[in-house]
Amino acid sequence: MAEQAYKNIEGCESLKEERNDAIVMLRQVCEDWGDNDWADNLHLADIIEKHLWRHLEARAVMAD
Amino acid sequence: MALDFGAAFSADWVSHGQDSSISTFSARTVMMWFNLDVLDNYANIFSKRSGVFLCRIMATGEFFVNIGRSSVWHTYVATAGSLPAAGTDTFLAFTHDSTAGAPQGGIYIGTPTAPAAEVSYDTFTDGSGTIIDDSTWDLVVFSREGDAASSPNGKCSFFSYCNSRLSLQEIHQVQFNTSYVPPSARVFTHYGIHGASGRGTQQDWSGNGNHGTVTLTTKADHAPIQIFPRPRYWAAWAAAGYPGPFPLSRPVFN
Repeated sequence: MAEQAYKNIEGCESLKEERNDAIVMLRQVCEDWGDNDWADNLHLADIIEKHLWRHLEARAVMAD
Repeated sequence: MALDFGAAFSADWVSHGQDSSISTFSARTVMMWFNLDVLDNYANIFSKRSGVFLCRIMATGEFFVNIGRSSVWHTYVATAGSLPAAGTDTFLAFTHDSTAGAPQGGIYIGTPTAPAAEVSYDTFTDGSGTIIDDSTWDLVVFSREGDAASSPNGKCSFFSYCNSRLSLQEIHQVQFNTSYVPPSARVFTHYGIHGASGRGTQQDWSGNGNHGTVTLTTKADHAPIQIFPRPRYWAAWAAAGYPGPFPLSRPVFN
């Protein structure tokens, strides 16, 4: 029981680290291809959809 | 006196330009008096370079301030409810010093009778790395450069931008007496006094010539512009634990 709880905590920490790494990477990508008008606690899907994908889509339409 | 920025997401804003005296600060303080008609999601309160230095209300009711840094960005996200209700005269101060130990800064909210106090945060990240260059972007109040329609719906009477992290006492000093110009102020403006109908050039009283150029807006009444010390604000000053009356320095004569 205790071992499983520890594993769960360890898993949360690992996810947090992964999210932090993803945020750092998204900041760089959004700087070049989207916008950085978002806070670090925004849902990752919202960051990708609203602050990256929409810009890429607009560029793609312009390129057509 | 104040500038009324009209409906939400209208093309109303003030630009203070991109002079080197207001660019890429390693430490900074922003202070404002405003009164929002509506707390509009995604409205930008101030910005210099889109995203890199930005204060924005979020859809979740929170609001945040970002500063772009080379490694991890600085982000303070104030919890929902931190901004007073619409129609409230509100004082906002934001501080950050990238060279200081943690915490490197904070967000403070006050009213005409309540000294600015630090908000609660949902996210508090000081960030790390060098400050990202914002020297080719305009310092914009109530909008952001490159987005002509991100203005909040409300009034703003005072805006100041300093290149140091002010103490809470200095912040209170400005809050209750906007004739006090901190020595590190690089922009210090009382909106709505200058120009026909509030439009035109808004004088920068810091002496750095970073005057504000107004786009749209109208002139409006807005209480918190204490050009001269007023006894009715001394009670709040005293309540904050300071000896009264206000200490004056570098007085401004409008």
